[in-house]
Amino acid sequence: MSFTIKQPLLRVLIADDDPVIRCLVASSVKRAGYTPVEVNDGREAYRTLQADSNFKAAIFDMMMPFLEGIDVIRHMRTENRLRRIPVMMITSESDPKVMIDSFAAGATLYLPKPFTPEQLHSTLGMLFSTRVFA
Amino acid sequence: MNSLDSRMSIIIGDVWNDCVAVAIDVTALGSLESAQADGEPDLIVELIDLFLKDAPRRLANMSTFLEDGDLHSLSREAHCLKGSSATLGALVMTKLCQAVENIVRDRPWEIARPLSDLHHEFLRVLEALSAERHNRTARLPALR
Repeated sequence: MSFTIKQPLLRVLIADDDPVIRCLVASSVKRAGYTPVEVNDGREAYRTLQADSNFKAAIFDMMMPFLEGIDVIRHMRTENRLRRIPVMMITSESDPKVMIDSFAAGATLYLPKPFTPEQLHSTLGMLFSTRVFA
Repeated sequence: MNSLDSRMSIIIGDVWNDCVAVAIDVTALGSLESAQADGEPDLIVELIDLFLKDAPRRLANMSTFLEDGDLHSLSREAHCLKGSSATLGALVMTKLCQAVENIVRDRPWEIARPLSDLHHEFLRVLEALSAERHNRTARLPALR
């Protein structure tokens, strides 16, 4: 008799064209016990998700080259295999409309920049305990 | 001076007043230590290295975009630089990035001055972060 052990979802997709923020977020994700998968822009995030949906969560910057974070979320919410992945949006945009638009597109959480490691840590805790129902 | 003129003067004035302030808020920079993952290289040194590699490229792009008259792309670079500057505690640089974004939106013909200020401020930040990096690596034998 053979068993297939379902691997827990331990990977987290991080898309940000700012290497400083990406590195900081990746370090916090590692610290929380997950494996970060880092990409540079929205198009790379989209391509990664096209090939692979095995992610615990995703973290996107709002303003990225080629494809913005909000557009990647809109795409994810139209595909059954990606719809369950909770997404955190990070942005240094102070306009509240950006936050409203992010939630309307399907973002799960929203973290404005600059953030402290403690704020990031507690928001990641919420993100990892979120279940999105398709 | 109309109301917009006086408002912009206040913004520029605030930024200039801050120039007497330190380039880097070391408390904000030091607080990033709490995001350090076990068994990984020193996070703050890594963040400083990434910033010092990325910021000059973005500043050069901004100058090119100004020459090309592409203010939308210039503003996007300032926006991105604002996020990383704020994270590392480069408070004056953060305000200058915001000033660039505001001026692109409100008075694009006056963009040259805040952009020049931003380039100068980066030199102060470069010096302060290099010193901070040196101090940290002196305490970390593995990084020498």
